[in-house]
Amino acid sequence: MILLRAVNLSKEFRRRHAQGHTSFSAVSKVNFSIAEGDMVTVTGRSGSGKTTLLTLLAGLASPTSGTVLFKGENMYVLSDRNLSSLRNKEISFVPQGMGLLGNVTVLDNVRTPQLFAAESGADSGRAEFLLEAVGLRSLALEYPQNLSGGEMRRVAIARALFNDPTLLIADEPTSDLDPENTRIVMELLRKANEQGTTIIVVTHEQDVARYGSIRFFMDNGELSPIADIDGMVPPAQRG
Amino acid sequence: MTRLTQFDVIRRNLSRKPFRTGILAAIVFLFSFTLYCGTVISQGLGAGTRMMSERLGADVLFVPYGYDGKIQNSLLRGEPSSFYLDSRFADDLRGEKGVDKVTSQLFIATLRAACCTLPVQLIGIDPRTDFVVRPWMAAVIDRPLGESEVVVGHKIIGRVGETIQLFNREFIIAARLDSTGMGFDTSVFMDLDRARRLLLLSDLGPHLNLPDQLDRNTFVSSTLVKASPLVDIKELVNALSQKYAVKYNLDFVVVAGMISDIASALHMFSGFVYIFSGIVWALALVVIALVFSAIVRERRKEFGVLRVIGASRAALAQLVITEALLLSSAGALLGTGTAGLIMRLFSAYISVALQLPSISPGTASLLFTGGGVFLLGLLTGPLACLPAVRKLGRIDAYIAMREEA
Amino acid sequence: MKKISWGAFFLVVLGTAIALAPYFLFPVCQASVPTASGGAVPMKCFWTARAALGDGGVIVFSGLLLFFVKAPGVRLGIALAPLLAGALVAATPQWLIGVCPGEMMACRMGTLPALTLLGGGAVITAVCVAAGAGKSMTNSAQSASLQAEARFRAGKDRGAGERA
Repeated sequence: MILLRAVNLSKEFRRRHAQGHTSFSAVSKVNFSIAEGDMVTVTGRSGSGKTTLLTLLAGLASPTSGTVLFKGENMYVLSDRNLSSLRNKEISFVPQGMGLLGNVTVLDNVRTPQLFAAESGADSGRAEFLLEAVGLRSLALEYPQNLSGGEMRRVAIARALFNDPTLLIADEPTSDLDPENTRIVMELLRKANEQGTTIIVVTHEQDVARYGSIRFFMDNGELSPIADIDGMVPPAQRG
Repeated sequence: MTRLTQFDVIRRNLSRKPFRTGILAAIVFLFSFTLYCGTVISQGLGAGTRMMSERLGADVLFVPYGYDGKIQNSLLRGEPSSFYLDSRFADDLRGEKGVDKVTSQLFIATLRAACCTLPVQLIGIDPRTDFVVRPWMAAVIDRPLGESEVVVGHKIIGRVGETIQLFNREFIIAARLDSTGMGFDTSVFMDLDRARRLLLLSDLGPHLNLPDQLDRNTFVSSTLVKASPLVDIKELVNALSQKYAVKYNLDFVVVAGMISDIASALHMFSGFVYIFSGIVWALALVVIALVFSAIVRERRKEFGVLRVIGASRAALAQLVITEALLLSSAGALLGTGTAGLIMRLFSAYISVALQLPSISPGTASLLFTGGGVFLLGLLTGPLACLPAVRKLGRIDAYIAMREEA
Repeated sequence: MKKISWGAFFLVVLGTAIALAPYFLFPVCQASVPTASGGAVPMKCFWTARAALGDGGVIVFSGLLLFFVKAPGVRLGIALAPLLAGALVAATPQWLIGVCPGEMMACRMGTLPALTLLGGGAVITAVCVAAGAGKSMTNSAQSASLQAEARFRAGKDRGAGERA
């Protein structure tokens, strides 16, 4: 089943110069679709529009034109409240950088999605289970400032998995990490994918990109599929 | 483990910045404290002033020349004093046009009446002609006083039926008057003739410095006059002064003027309280608005993260407003509570310090005022943070996260 | 910057105020008043002030100790002293000894409410210090328990690895 479809998705920004303003397209007429259970990686150099694309797919920014369909429903006609609810229950986002709340413990950071979820959502025991799964149970009562970069990234992934999302989007989840932590983070994402979560990862590292069963390349705001080793482009990647 | 709530997050945000939290709560505390104390004192002064105009049935008080201040101090603050006036003046007044009622009183300052007491004001009243004290004395005793009986003001020590010592003689307390907020609260009332005899027979008697023209058996301290209806008090006082001032060496106090002066002082005090409270409130609003504006700026990334995990703009606004509400509720509760405690515990001290008639409001009134002040203090935080909440609505989660990347 | 113990600071301030208020802020009567018959009547408020001086000293001393003692268990124990002393300060002018009966006497108008308020403040501060110490003790136990659990699991994993 097609989970996510981007239709002629574009995002333009105005850039201010000494001479005035110019427009540039961070994302330009992107068309693609992703099926449930896919593990997708998007590679490209810095400034190619990867993060902008992710934020559009997660409903965190509005496109200049085009739309995103999640389970067949146009995300951008939803109210802010309903779109936020969708992000809380179905679409998780692991942002680039730290992305944790500094004033609460690691354990409470994992269960912050509870703040905006209905009473019937995941219970707090799941937070302990997820911390165990990412190997950080002993740091439950620490504050994020006392964690290493890799540990904070693992906490962010645990938080993203708290509400058992349908889709998890990760923006450069292994940037600034050493090879061992990179491997740990990608194995966590792979395990989540095996358990049914659709994953989209944006990265500039080729080693990380190889984890994807479906791969795209982004350049100057345009997205192109990367063929697999047989030279075939899987059906779901057609626009 | 219990569910994580927005209240938990807010509480931790506040406790991780104790100095900032303390300062903001302290500003609301100051506002609530000032407003509550000022309001309660104003209410007390207002009640005292109203009581005074009800209780002082007279329009004019005539006293010996130079003693107008003394009688005012005695009435308002209960400062005991003694002064003497010719009783024939009262007889002369009874025939005058424009005079409805006339009565005389004898003011005697006792020495230390007994251990642990301060000097009290002994007031002798004429039971046949008195129209000032008798009406409200009738509320507590409906018979004439016996030979050894007195009626005491509200703050005199001793229960009804117990004895009080005056000039080495014992008197039975026949009744206690209700609180008036005036000097009457620290006064003892007895029959005028009896009071005069008591004074003459006491150790003070041989040393009384009575003017030569006064009869030792009939002197008084002041003569109180109630004017006929529709008579102009100023004109009446002028006429009587012209006729009798030199003869009896008189001074006078127009009661309406005295009350009006007190009412003016009260208005000034109330005005000052409300202006000062208004300034403190404005300061609180500005400071809280500025700090919350800084908080929203400081926590852009945090708010961006919350948007990512599913917070709507309304939910973020609710978080900020709730944080401001918690801050101001703590300050308002402490401010109102502390002020209420201080006003209750120090009510007597404050009344004396003000040197104006004052009756402390009852518990119900204190609670009602406290509730109103608390509510105003409570709303300070949420009102002040509204500009910051508006700014919050414009935060783009994507941009906030890009700043971090 | 070293973390200030606000509880200790407030106890020192309150204790000093309790000791000095009956002598400088709301002065009490002298020890006894001579009567006309040549006797002397003791003034209750004088002895209340004396008691407050002692209790205030205890509260100040406890506050000073709390500046230097960091161990939560010991702080909890020390906090009991100002708690009891504060209760005594409030109770002494009200019931234990008392003050002059006259409503307009300075000791009743000023000293009594001042000692009641300050004594209550000392009790509340001592309770806060005790609560803080108790919370520190609980957090330390929780943290130690989690770390012990982590070490146990690490030991188990290493043992399994070695056996393999």
